[in-house]
Amino acid sequence: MAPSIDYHCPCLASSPAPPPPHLPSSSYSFHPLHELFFCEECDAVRCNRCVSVEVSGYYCPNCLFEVPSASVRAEKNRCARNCFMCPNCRNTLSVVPSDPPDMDDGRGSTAALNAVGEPPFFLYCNHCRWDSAEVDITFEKPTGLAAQLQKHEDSAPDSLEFERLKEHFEPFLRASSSSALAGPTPASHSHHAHVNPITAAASSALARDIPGVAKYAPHPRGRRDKGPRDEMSEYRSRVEVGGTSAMGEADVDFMRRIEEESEVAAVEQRWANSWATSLRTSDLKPLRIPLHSKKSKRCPTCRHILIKPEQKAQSVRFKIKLVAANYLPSMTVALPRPLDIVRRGARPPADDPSGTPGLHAGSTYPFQIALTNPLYDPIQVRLSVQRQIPPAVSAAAAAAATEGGATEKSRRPPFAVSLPSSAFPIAAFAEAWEYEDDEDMFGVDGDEFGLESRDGRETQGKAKSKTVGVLEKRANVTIVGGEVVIGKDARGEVKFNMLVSYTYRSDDALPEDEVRGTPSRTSKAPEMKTFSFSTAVNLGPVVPREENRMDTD
Amino acid sequence: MSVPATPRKPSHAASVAATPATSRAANAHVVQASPHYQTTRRHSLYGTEDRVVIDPGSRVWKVGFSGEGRPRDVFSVGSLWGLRRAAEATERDEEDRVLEARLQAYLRDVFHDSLLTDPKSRKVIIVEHPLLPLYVKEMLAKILFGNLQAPSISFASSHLLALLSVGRITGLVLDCGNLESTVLPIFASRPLYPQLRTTPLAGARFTAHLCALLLLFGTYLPPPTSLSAAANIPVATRSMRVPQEVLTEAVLEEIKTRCSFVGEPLDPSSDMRVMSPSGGDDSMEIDLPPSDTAPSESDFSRVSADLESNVESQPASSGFSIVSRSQIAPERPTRGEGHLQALASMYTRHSTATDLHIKVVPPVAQQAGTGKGTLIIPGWIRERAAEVLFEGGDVDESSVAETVLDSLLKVPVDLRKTLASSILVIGGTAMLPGFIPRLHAELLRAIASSPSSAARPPMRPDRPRPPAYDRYAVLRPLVPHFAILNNPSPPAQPTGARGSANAGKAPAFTPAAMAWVGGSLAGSLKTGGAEVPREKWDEAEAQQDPDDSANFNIDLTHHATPNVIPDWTRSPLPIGAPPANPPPPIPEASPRAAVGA
Amino acid sequence: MDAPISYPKSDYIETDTGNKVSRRATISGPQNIILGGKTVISNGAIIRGDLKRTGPGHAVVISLGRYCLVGEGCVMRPPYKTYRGNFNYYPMKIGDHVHIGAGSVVEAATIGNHVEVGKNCVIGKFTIIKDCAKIADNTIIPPNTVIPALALFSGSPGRFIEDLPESTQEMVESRTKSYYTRFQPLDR
Repeated sequence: MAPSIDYHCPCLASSPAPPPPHLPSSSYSFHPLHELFFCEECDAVRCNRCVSVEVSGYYCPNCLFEVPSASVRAEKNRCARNCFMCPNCRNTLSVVPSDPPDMDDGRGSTAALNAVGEPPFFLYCNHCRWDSAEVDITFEKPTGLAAQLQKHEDSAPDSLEFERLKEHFEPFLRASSSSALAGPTPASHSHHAHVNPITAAASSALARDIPGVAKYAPHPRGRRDKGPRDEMSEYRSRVEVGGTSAMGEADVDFMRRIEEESEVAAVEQRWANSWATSLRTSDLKPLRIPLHSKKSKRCPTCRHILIKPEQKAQSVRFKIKLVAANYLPSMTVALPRPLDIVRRGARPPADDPSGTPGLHAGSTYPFQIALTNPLYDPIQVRLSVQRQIPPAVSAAAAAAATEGGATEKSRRPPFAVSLPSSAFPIAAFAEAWEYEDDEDMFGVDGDEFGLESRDGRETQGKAKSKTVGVLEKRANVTIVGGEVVIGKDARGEVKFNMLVSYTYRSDDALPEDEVRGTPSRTSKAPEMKTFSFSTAVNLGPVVPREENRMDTD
Repeated sequence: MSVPATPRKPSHAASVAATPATSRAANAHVVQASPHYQTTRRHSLYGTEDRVVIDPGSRVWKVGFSGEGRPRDVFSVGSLWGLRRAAEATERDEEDRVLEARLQAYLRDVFHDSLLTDPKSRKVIIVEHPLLPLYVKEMLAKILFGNLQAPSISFASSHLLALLSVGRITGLVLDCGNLESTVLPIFASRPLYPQLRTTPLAGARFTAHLCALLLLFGTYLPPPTSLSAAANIPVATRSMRVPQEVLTEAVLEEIKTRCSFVGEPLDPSSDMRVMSPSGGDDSMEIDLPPSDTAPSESDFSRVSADLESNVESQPASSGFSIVSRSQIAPERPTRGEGHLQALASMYTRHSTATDLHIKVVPPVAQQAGTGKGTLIIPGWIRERAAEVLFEGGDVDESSVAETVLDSLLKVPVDLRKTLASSILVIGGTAMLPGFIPRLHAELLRAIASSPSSAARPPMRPDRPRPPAYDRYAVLRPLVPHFAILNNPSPPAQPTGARGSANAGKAPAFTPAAMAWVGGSLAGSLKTGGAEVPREKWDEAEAQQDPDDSANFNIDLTHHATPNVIPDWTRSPLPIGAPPANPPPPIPEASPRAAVGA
Repeated sequence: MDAPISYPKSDYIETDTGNKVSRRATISGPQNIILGGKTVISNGAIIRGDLKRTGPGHAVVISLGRYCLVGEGCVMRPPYKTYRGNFNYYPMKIGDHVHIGAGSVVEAATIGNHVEVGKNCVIGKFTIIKDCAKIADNTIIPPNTVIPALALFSGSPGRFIEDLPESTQEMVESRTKSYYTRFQPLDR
């Protein structure tokens, strides 16, 4: 894996210090910068695990129809037009006429057909060739398919049975709540604190009459008069499980004889059925496509909106979009390749992971961090390595030191990292960089590297090996160098926490983002502010000693 | 209870310092909540009437809205928690952090992706397994209230809800899930928790057993190294023992859910006969009756034809079953396998189920070959792997049927008949075809067979101990009344016994979905279990906060917060409940310890 | 820090709008193909501009926007169908900042802006890919599929996996631009 830097969101943490990156749980706290948000009100990073999400619109991912919220309920979050999924492979199904026009293009008769073809129509999967005629589902017309199937669904045995169950319990509950719950509001309808510690079928009335099961009258059936059980009449199922063919001996028989596993539907294809259904793959029905939603996101603390998409379903623009990338310097980390023979033309080693050398135990490696300033003001940045055991926890660790401390210690990273200790500046982001000409900035970039590569990387390595510090500044990017010394017995990954603090001039609470277009801002007394955040830097796995391979120098 | 003390608390205390996140005290949202509530209400399409019903299993979650007959979404969550936690504090904390993060991700998905609804406007019903570990329950509450801001949570017993889904409030409910099978008698909607019985013989054990059987008796054909090799090398020489790597969790899950079923109980006479020579392990090959190889052979030739597209495979196929077995045979002189060996020979004799060939991803070492490998599952494994659930004997691991009977024994005498005639079987493992009819047979057999083994205890002439211990003797009169409500093939019992009146009379909801359906029903009837509103939770949180910063009390929170959440293992039993062990003071152990047999 | 991607200068033809087209790519019917500028067509790519609608004259068959990349060995072929008895090809339109990974076969009808298609994908006929969507490596998208904006698809057949982050557009834009600027000739 290429070296990476992830940013910390403190929402899961119980302490301000970020979790040590060697713990598996820490991966839930660190995120790539572009997935994070920034709340200006709280001056804090937010992530997708903590923001509160609201639906701002529904659409079908297949027909892209924007479903009005009012009809979403009735349609059970599914597309109510023509969109269906293949029960076999979950591909979207197409509607085809029953006599598909011959593939032979020159056939004269098809020209005479109307555009849609002949009824009956059925659904067909372009991927696995399943078709709905196999399960006797055909349509008279090729539109409004869901409506045509709706009748089917409304009369589904599970919903009918469910209604019957409701009718069965309702009078009983009404009776018990009126008789027993004289005190508090009988219905748990009201939203307010009304905790009735009753058992789930729900009424204290049920509990009331049982003075103790132990003392119970010898013939429970004889207690017709009092036993609450008897207030309720016997429920008669609409469809009794004993009467259905599914799940009984027939299934056992079927299972005994199957020749192919594929005759039995996968559990994923069956488990959403609450009703006993056939095991057979051949009985699967087409599925309606679930709707998707556009989401707005709010800061969990102050409720300010961080993300507000445009109404249109397929628009990728946002009315409000406070992403962390516009506030925090973005960082990329790289290990300079020691012997990077520039391969000629053929294969661009773009994101080629094999291009990154292994980190060998017992060696020292320089690494580079490029920081890009997204702000309109220059910033001063200071980097520091965060100790693995945050002081806050150390007390606890001490408590657990007896046994835990030892292991904790052994988990201490077997490597040491040096970073530039002094603050360094990064120039302001200027629109000019963007607009003058894209190539200017990037072109320079490329040229420099071009030069280096022509001279061979060895010189570069020599030139930079001495530097732990600022290596390069251009535009709003500063590259700093660091160094990692890897212990002889190191294993695992070189991962460490890095605290980044940057100081910027804040002239107002005016968010930079919203004044993007107008460079002349109302500048008040400049005030320096500092913001700090934690990151987890992953330089990649250590190649253990024994396995040292030849390929690097 | 579950987290004894240290590490969590101090870190919390230290956090008072600065970061914006920690200032996310309860007050912030309490104040904000009301105005915002209205705006979301306006947006909310469902009104707030329908609740969100979540059935969070350790492997599979079912979620949906109350008032609907089926869950909106069902998804697998891998394996969230197990029966035991790490013993060491730091390790356990780490485990908990991972679990909490995963739970949070799944719960957020439920609202944002599965249900597309605003969690702030929805009351939540959690279908709670009675032995859901308390720490998991607390985490669920913490995430729902804290991260998702749910207005209220109700916890409702899964067993009771399942009863509701069949229109009853009294019954003996067996939940055969993944980690455990749990039996809970419920009378007039009141779970009789002290009579709860449990056994670890459930889905996970079944999977483990299946895996062991396949490793021993399955056959694996690696992918041919080249297409021409496929045609030339007879399959017999390619077949080998099943490499462990092939049996991934996904493959096992697939075999379990698509290939396995439960056969009828074996004839006890043959049972006896084979069990006795269980020591002898070399009799196996000879023992193989030809009647068994016949189906597998024909099956094989068909597939081999697919594989090889060459007719010459025919002779090889006849040799196949022999070769593969003899290849395997020398490798297994181990002791414990002898028993399995005997079982195998017994089962093969009695199973007519077809062998299945499924495609599996070959182990890394063999991936040079072409395509996928083939795993051959003997028919008897498909049929008999589930025997493990019905073989009791161990004190701590009684069979599923024994667990039911044990619970029934604990029930007051006058309820036994009622409960025995309304047994309800729920849970994912009960979805195995044939499971429920088999359970019925096993129940009767367990009752009947006890006396035969009664001869074992050594009799003392001086003390005429009446009949030797016959566990289920008292239940024997109830035999005609035994009925499984959702038995899909109720035994034909022409008598007017209560049993026949009830068996198979439940609506045809699937065992796996019943608890969820019951939750949906409870939600639409505006009932549901003990409800905890968010205000209450926030209060508890707020209370704990000042304490926190003031003194360095370590385990304070741990008691402050969860007290809000109802928990049957802690709360004193309702008045009138039968005298039970005093409510467990919640020791370090999980609630199970307090209840378990 | 971003290493340049060098190619022998003689391998590519650069147009005055900055398009770079490999000499080893097969471009059929170039008069029917539009490249928006700063777009790279890699070695071994096949672009079938010749498969045009029946009828005289030339029509745009395949159009690509700015900062696109057609990876090595890609096949871009306009979709076809028989409609009212007439067999016909239909044009393919691809927006700006679209990268198509090596070895993929594309028969889409429309691909929006800022779309990333991975390596070795098959994009079936008449597929519509909306803005900022992403297709993971080795994905098979069956014909007539619609891929909504900001969605990640993966698998065979390709299925929705997750929503992409809100900043996808910026990410893809900077990535495609940087790719173009890194893609430099090695004159020798």
